Amino acid sequence: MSATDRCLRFSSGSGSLHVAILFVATLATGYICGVGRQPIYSDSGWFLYAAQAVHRGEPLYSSMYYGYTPYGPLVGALSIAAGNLVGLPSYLAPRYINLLAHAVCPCVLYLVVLRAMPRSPLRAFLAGATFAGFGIQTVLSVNRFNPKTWVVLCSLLCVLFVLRGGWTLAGLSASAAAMFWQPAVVCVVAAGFLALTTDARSRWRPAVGFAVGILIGVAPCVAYLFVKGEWEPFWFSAVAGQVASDEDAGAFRFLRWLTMPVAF
Amino acid sequence: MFVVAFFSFIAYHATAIREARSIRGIVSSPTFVLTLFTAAYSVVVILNFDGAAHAGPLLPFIAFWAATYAPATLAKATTALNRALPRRRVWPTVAKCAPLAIVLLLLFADTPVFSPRFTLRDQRALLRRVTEDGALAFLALNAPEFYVLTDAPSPVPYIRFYPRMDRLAEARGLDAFVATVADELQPVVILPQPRRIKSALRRLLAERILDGVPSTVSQQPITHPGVRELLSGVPAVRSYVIYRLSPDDISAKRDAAHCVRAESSR
Repeated sequence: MSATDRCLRFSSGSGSLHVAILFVATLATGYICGVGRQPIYSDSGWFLYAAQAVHRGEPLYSSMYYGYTPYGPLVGALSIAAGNLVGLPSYLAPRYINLLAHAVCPCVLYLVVLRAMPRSPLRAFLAGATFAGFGIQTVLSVNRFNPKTWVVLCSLLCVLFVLRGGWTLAGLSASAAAMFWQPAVVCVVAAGFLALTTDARSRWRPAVGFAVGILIGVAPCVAYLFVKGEWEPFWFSAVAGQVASDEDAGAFRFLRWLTMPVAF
Repeated sequence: MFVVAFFSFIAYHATAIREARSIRGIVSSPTFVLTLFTAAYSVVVILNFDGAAHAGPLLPFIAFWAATYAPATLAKATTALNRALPRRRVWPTVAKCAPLAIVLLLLFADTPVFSPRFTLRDQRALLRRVTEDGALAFLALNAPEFYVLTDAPSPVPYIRFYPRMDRLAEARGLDAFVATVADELQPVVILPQPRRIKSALRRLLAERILDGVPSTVSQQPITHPGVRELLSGVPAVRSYVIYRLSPDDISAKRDAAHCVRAESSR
């Protein structure tokens, strides 16, 4: 324990208390930001509509333009089903489940920092509190079903499992992050690099574990697209549509050229 | 916070590189995992920056780097405060807690700003006014909130307009878009009235479908001024234009759309 931690009476033995404080503080912040009061508009309406569409049994990519990978609306639909059991309206249930996921993020960040820098629980606590204090992230987590909240959670879990050497769970978290928002595939790349370069006794065991985790993480997405017959509209919306945007960077122009002929 | 995180990141790595005996030593350090993820998400945010919402996945790493030197800074503040305060029993405790309390207060100080003035309840009241207690069918274009609040499916897949959608609609044919929307016309058509209109689809709707139809504008601020634009990076919606179509209007628009479709297929 560092001198500052001793001075401020921050010991790693109080880890559960710190995690509980972070969790409650984040929930309270979400409540003050107005989880039940934030209006629905634009992006927030779009994400909630996607969750409702899946819950109604509509094919996600054919019934609307949804430009992300499908885990967001799938989890959103599950939360609507759970909300129905306790009488929550379908536009509020995904917000509450999203707020819970958001409140877990600073706790996981605390564990990650404590694992990476075990001598300073104060640093870990401050990292978690700093994240919980980002008002913009809180409000984006309470006014919609925000896939990026889940990307944050999955990425942090991935980092935690990498630090603990749990490569299958790391692969699962990394691919789940990418299944919420495609650019989070960088999480797979980063963790994959670490799996290949780790100092483990057997070089292949982490890599194989990581690959198995990825397959498990992607399986529900593949199953959903097969069951609903949605491969073509998925490609159109989540791949071609993403690179068909009006960014004029060279990379985007090349990707547009590469993907658009396949979509049309 | 971004600036603090950036300089902490630089300072931490400068020290780590100076003190490291080998590259292998840096790479095998647990902190390298956080460095790698920070770099990976920084690349994503730089390449794909589309408003603050897209920076979300980088925020925990920003929080981590911003907090890297915070304990040392707090220790210095505590020592300085301890020296400055008079020697009484209560002051050492104050000196210990005050800097941390101030930091936590600053971190959460902006929270009430995000509490909305125009709330979900107001929005539901507006919906009731627009749709006459839900009795009327409506077509809400670029206003998904009306479908979300009623848990009703949109008759058309185009629930949002923005430049990316324009390009996709162009690729499939704008006439097909016009025909689809006209086929599904409802007695009430709701369109948000953005301050900056960049969507070609919205222009098409106004010119080829809703031209000449009586409309009313419902002046409803959507949320806290300035915050909305900051959040989503899309044109701020200040009010809705509500078109009320008669059965004659609807059949005329449908006929026009069928003509467009026939011409384009010829």
